[in-house]
Amino acid sequence: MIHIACQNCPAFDIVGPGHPAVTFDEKKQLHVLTDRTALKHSHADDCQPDANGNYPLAFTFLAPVGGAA
Amino acid sequence: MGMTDQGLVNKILSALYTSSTTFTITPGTGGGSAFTVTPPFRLHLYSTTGSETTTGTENVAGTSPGYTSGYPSGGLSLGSSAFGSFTSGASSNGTLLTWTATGTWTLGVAGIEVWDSASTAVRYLWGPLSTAIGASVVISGDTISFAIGAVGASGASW
Repeated sequence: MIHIACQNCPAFDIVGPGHPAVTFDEKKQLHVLTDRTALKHSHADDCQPDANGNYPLAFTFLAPVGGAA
Repeated sequence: MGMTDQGLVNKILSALYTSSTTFTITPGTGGGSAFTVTPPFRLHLYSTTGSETTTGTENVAGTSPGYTSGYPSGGLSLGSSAFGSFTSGASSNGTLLTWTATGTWTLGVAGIEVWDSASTAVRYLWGPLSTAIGASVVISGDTISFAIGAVGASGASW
């Protein structure tokens, strides 16, 4: 599970299996396909993108990842 | 013969991953070379996930600006004690790790590995991310973090 949050406003989403923003690759691994404006808890009206029109995001892995010891 | 006693698994893995000082395990006669454990352990990022026997393709600054690759100084330190004490054969990281992108990461992040800090670093753990980050998803100003508890290690199946 990845917590994706806007760095300029409270907008965020938690993305994992079953979320419409992810897809499986040829190795059956999930991939994030992030539309930066399409967070579940949407950007504030006064949230300003950068000069390139992008919202800086923070991707934070929450659930255990990695392999067996 | 059955599985390894889980109490022993907890002791061995706790000894490995909670230590803040270098120590050496010396096998008996015929048991092979001495094995030195060199904390701190470091978390590295990989665009292609490794396997049980082979390291993955590590992200590099050229395609992942803001990331530092290589061994033993690349990646980020998991702290003086990388993991908490193991219970039920498992534990996880106790330090928040964050990279800040300084440009577009044209290669994604699919896996992670944990290496020690020996001059010839040793790989200890590897695995795929539960959800990978695709190519060119991360752009300048974005951060990639692993929350406390997000990097798990388990010997429960030993």
